[in-house]
Amino acid sequence: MTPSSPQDSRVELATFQVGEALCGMEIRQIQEINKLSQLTRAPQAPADVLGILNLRGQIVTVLDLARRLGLGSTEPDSQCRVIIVNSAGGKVGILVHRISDVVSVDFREQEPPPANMRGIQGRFFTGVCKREHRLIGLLDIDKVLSLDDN
Amino acid sequence: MSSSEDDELLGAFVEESVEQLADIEGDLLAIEQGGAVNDKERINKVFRSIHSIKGGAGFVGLHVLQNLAHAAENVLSLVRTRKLTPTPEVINALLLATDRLKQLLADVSCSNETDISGPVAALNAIAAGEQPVAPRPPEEWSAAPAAMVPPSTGDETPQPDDEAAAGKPETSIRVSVALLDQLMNLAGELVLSRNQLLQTIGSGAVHEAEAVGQRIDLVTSELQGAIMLTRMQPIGNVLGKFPRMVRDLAKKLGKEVELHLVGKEVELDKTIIEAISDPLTHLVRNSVDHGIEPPGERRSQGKPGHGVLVLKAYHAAGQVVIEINDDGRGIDGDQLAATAMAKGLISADQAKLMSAKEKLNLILLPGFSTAARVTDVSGRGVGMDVVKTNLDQLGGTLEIDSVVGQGARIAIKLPLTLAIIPCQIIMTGNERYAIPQANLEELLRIPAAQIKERIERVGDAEVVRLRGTLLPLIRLSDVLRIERIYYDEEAGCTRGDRRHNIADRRSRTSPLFDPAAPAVRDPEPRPERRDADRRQSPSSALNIVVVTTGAFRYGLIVDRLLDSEEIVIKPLGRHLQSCQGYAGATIMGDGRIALILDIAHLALMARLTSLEGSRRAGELARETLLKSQDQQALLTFRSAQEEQFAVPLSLVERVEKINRSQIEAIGNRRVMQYRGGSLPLLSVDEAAAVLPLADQDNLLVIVFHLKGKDVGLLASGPVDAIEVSAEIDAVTLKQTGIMGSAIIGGTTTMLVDIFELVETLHPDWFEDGAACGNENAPLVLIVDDSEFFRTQVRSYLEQAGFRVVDAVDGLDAWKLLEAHHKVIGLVVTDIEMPNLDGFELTRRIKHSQQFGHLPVIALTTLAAEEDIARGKAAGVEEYHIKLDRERLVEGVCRYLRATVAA
Repeated sequence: MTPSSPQDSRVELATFQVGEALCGMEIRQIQEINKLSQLTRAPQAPADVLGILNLRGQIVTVLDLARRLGLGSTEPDSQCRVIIVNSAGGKVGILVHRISDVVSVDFREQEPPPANMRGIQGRFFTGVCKREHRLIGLLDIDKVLSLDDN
Repeated sequence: MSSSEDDELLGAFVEESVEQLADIEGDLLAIEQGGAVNDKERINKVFRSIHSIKGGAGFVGLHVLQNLAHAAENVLSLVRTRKLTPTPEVINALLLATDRLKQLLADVSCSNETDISGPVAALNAIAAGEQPVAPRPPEEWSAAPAAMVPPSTGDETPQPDDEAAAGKPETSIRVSVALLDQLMNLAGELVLSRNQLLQTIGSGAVHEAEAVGQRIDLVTSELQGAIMLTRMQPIGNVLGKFPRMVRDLAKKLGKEVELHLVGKEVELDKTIIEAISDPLTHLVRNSVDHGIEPPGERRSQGKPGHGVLVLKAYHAAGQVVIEINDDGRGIDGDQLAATAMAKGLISADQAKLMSAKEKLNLILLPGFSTAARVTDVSGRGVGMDVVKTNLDQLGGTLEIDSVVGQGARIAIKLPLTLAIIPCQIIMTGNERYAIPQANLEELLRIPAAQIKERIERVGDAEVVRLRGTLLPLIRLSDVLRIERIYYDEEAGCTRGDRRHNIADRRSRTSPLFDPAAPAVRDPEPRPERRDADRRQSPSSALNIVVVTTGAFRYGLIVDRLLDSEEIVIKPLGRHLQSCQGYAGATIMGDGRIALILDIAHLALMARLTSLEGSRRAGELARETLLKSQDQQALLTFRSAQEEQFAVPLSLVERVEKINRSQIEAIGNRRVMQYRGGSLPLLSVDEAAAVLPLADQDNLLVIVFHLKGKDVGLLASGPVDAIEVSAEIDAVTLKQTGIMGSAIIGGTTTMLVDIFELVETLHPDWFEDGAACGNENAPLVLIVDDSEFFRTQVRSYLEQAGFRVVDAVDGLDAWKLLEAHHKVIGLVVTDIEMPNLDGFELTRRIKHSQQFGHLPVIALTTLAAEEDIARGKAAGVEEYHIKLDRERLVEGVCRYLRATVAA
């Protein structure tokens, strides 16, 4: 994850809660955030695929982020949101437990990820940022969305 | 200039050049045919194209491309100024150069490192006035399309060139400005309508909302239509490559082939155009390679030395048909059968039973073409199963016709578009799924009461008995590993299903059920009903979708059958690419998604292998066997609940469900309103001594059409359509209106003679027409091995006043004919008979000096189109369905009159 230009090292992060952990991703990678509605199950799909949904005529796969990160499956509730990400292989939705604030962080303050962050393996993060006594894990979205499992 | 602008420029150059090269190829071939006398305009055109490629290449810095184009331009310039005659050698060098140009354009980033000294030297040599040395160096061959690879190497894979093209679908498309304007216009309309809608919603005016809704409906449909048009492309885009391919291939094989393209302007969806290229190439190659003979062989058979290959595209019945016709040696069905037998795909007995067409279709069997084709000269089935599979995926079909020695015709039928396909929607595990109509054969519902007798276990699999054949069953919920539920129609909800074995419901050990399968998480636990009587409720009926695809035919058990809908296919994301059971997804009217099932992969997932290759051939032969026994399609019904009746299904027009209150009694006649008129009603007990019609409100009316009128037979359910080869007893229960009886499904069933029934009750309808036969009229010869049908047909004709003789099989008939040919004026024959069948009998009659003039009417129980075609080929004048008395008598009358007149 790199800032938009070398001169400006501040980026806007959308933060959200997955299990116990507060994660963040650069807001520019996000197309939109929706409530979870009308999800269609896809039997036989990999375990971390929750289902598919209709995004204005486009079929979008929804991943259970918690499951993907090794935290066990999510029981969707009213606070869950689907973040639609524009990835290289098309749009993908990721289900998070709740949406938190948008924060502005300085990339130079980024620290390398620990081996494990509240139960999530460090390999899913590009780094961590400290923010008002909380740690925000910067998600490596390409790794999260990659097809090979490990 | 920034790099993105550079890329854009390069992209535009590549696109334009590729298009120009496609045209150049055709033009060069035309110039070659013209020889010395030449179309100046055409040469100029090629020259200009090459020139602009050269210029463009220089501009974007592709110097290798530029050099090659320059060398080609030099040669063309000489041709243009008539200093050089465009001999085949010259054209070859130019074609080769265009091939190289195409290759360079396909990979522009590496083009500047490519070695092009070979073609450049060849061109320069020509320009310098030397004729090139005849055979081109072998490495140059590899640069040409792989179509030229000698056939003896047995390559069955798609050509490398094509593969590259298929792997990289076009990323841009040309659309006419007029169409674009129309789209823009429609988009504008849509925006306007949306604004109106928002306004209306704001003001809350319901009446206006309706008008706006209509407007949006209209605009959306028009928009959809216009966008679909942008996807349509002329099939010429694919056909265009064949002149070159055929020319090169023919040259290589030392044959002379004239290729005609017809219907290049026929338009098809872009995706189909792209996907049809490989199968077509394969078929055209087969025709040139194996179909068309070398000139010497052709002349010795009295054919012109050059073979003619016609590629024809046209619209027919909402589909596009592409025909590949050649006048070569044709496909020898008997030889195919021999090969299939040698490979163990079919047995000798099966081969004997196959029709000519079935033998031709053997070529499509998987496994037919894998082995030793080098020794099999006319084995035209090189990878034909691959072609068939490709077409199946497109929802297309393949038809083969051939006359040995005269040529072959292969017709491909394709849907116009793949983007919208009709699908059957089904429901399993509370989710909807779509099954493409192309895979759908029929829908089957087995009532709970019949499950035990119709579902059987064969080895490891569960099968259903369907009209005498065994159909393997797959439970969709098991293949997809989702919890089994069933739909309770009374309660209108779904419940968990605890039975795991259809046939034996107490057992929990079904091979279809894998107890280790992980249960899919279910948000809300479903109530379980444990009543013992649940099993008797109608909800326990099995819904089966009978599907076919290439090598498979099976029944898919689903929870509910919903409507058939036209759906738009949408691709699935990459995370679901590993799920092979789905061909895509679609969005339903309510905005939710339904997955489209991939029928072939589902079968593989269920490890359904029973129909592969040889077994399929076995089934094919079995079907033939079944057909050869006299099968009669019957509709069974009841009048009083205690007695079962049947009528030939072919005579039934419709079956309507009615309520007793709809019957109106007028005088002593009963009628009901039907399609705007009065339908006379009758019941079996009015004419025959059987129990009176059941006294119940729910009745059925079986509608027949006789003597130009509709007539309805009152009946009660259940009705069933069955095919039986039961022995019919024409004596025991024979009476007015009943022609005989048979044991069907363990019940004595009376066969209703609807003609006699109607004649008894409405004698006035039958007053005319009986005057056709008379004392001096010629005899009618009836040939049928079944005594029942023979007697039946005999009585029809005798009642109509004809004089009749009968024979028990073809051989018997032939003897009779030889003895009494002077008095016999017409032959009415069954098809399937021992000793000498109807086809053979007809053929003998038609080929004989004495009886060649005799008209032949064939009778059949199941009028399959294929049989009709076969009969016509043998010389049959007319086909009639057995027991369709009216048409038969009318036909006999017509032909006899003609015979007497002659």
